[in-house]
Amino acid sequence: MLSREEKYIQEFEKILNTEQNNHSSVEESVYEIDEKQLKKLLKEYKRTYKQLNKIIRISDRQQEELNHKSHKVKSLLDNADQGFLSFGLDYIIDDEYSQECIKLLGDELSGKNIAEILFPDDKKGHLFFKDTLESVCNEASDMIKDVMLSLLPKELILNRRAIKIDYKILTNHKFMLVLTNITKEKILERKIKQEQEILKMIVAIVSDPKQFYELKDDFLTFSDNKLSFVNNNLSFPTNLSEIYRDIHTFKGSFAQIRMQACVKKLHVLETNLSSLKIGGQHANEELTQLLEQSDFHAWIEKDLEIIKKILGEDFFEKQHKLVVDDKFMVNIEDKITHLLHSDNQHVTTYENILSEINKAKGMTIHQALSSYPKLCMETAESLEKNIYEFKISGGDEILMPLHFKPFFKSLVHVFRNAIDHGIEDLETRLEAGKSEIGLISCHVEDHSEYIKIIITDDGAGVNIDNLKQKLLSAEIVTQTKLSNLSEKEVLEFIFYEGLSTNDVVNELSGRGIGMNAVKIEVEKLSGSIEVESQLGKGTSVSLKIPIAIYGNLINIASNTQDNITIEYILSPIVNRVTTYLQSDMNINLNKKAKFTYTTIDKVVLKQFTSYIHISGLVEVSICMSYDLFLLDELLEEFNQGEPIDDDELPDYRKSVSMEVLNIIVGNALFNPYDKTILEITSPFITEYDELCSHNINEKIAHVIIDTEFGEMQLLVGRF
Amino acid sequence: MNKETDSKILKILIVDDSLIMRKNLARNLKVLGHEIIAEAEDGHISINLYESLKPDLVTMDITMPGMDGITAVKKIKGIDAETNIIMVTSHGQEAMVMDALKSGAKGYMLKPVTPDKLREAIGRIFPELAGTVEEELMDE
Repeated sequence: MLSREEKYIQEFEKILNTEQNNHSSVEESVYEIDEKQLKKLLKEYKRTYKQLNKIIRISDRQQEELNHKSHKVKSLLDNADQGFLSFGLDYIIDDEYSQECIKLLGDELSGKNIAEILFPDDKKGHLFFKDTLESVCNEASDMIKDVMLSLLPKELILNRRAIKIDYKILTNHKFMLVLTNITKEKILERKIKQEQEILKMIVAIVSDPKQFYELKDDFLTFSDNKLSFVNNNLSFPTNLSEIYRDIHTFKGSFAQIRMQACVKKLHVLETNLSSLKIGGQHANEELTQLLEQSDFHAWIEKDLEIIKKILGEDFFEKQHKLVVDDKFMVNIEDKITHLLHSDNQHVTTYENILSEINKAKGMTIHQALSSYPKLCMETAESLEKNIYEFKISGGDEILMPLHFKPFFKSLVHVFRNAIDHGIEDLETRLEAGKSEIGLISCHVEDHSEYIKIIITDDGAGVNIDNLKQKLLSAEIVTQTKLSNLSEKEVLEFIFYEGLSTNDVVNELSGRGIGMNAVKIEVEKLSGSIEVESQLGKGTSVSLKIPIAIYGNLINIASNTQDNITIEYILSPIVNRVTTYLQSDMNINLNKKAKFTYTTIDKVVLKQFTSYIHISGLVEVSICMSYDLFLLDELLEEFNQGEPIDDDELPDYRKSVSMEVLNIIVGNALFNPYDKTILEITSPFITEYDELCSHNINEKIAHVIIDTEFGEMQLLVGRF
Repeated sequence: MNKETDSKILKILIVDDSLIMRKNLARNLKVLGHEIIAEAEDGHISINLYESLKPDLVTMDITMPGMDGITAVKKIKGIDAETNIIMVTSHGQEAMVMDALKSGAKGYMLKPVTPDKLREAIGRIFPELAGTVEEELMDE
């Protein structure tokens, strides 16, 4: 198909050709066609045509580019998650608007009135919007324009969405709006605010629990008796006033401790009550009805649930606990101790009372471990694993000696490991045919001379092969040595310092460096730790710690300055003596140590005695007295078998008795974690067979340690 | 030369009021190949001995009658700022450790003393004398 222009050219060319051919024969036509001119014209026309085509091509190409660019820009804007639209003073939305506008404002926006869309119900807002934009157009100063625009609403709620609006001025009295969906941010803001409110409530409650308990009880009592507040013998206004006052007071009290859910509900009730106040005649029945409909219990329940969740169930149990000053307790103990000394008939009764008081003051082993179940739940949650809630079993009857604190703190590693490396994730457990929810347990066994804490999990167990590999590759043991070790001995390497969790997390489902810390604490208390594990089935960690051989001791503070019980001193010393004799000196003990309380005047010392004084937070003296053979055995061990001249023997004997006392007391009482301020003197020797003191009725703790070489006497008290 | 390792022999001054302790330390240090040049039973004597003998290393007890160990350390540090002193004591309390180290001691060892503890404490001050734990385990 030829274009019109191309047809013309063809015709022209035809004419030219026929002219040339029929040059001689034909009559001269009326119109003299100048051949030269025609040719020229044709040439011009051809050229013009070429140029035209060129221009058309260029124009097409530019149009294409423009479309392309325009498409790109639109695509950018559409994907920007922001609504862009423009309008003039007619408030009619222009055709070009981004996709997001449809989401935010609805479909088919072009041609619609922006003011009506933004302010469907708000006449005032609608007018203000128009007025402001018109003023902006009439304003010359840019700064004032900006100020005016800042008066327009920055946020609106439309179609259940929160929309942020930015206003931009385009040229020629046109405006652009940039709309952003901030619904999510608003929801988050609201959530944060709620959390903050809850936090404030918890802080208010914890700062004054008594106030909270009282309010709670009062309100619940009020709720139970609500109907009785409408006294039919009194007039309606009287009843109304009284109830209104009560509700108002409750509202204030709840507001004080920020129990917002309650405050809101009470406020609504208040409003209802006050509307009754204004209205005409009302009867008592209406009041009764209103009270019946108000479910006070449910209102407070919401807040109580939150409190329970955050502070724990036993926060409500604490209501029945007293907080008592230390001094108050010491005062009472003091008075009873005086009675104990003066009233000989009832000594046992007084001792029992003091024992009960002591139990109340101290912490049992069960209590020392009680924070761990919650910790386990939290750890499991953070690692996206499931475990059953568990309780510590046993240990209720045993008091925790103060110096056991670091050991109990270190148990966090055992629990953490049980969850981290022990309990497997959901899929692994299901594949292994285990229950979805993992089982962690902790119980305390009381064996009178020692306690055993057993922590188990039904998780993946320790992979012995991996552990062996790890030991070999880290060059911790040689292959030969490894093959000589029993499985139990290999397991002990779990406590090896340097077997870090980082190396282990990919290769090993074993335990990490925390276990080394636990081992150190256990050894400090002269205890032992054992791990039993079955691959795929689970692991059990047993911690055995020797404990005061004589159960719960009585605080024999006979003067109010003494805040630390003698048990605090005695228990670690006896433990250290036993380990020193058995482990350090290889001397066997015949039976367990015998302990009594006695008085100074009844003490008879052995052949060789040394003593030491402790001062500071506690004033006490410690004395160790030895039978000859025992002392000589100690001397031999100390001297590592080297012979001693007879004339040097007395000096050596004195020296060893003092040095052993020094080592034992130093080790036992002055451990790195103990911050108590105590001072210790150098040891002294006494040749006498009795002790002296200011008070001959001074109570002394007396321990006899029976070894294969003889007896050792340990005395703790004031002398 | 030291028969255990091809390493240097230290000239050591032992300070402790306990006779048995001095003997014990001396024996253990000799086993490690070092030489005991003197023993002192109280702080005063130790300072005099230090001045005249200039030992490579001093082991110092904390609780002594008369001048206690920490005071003695301070005084010796006054004589010789580079002094190498290891506290040997039955006390492990953090506060005391800090005190001793601040006064100029370079090490701290808890009684009862074992050859291992000694080797480790000495090894910290004289790295060339430090054996490694792995070495021990690798021994067949």
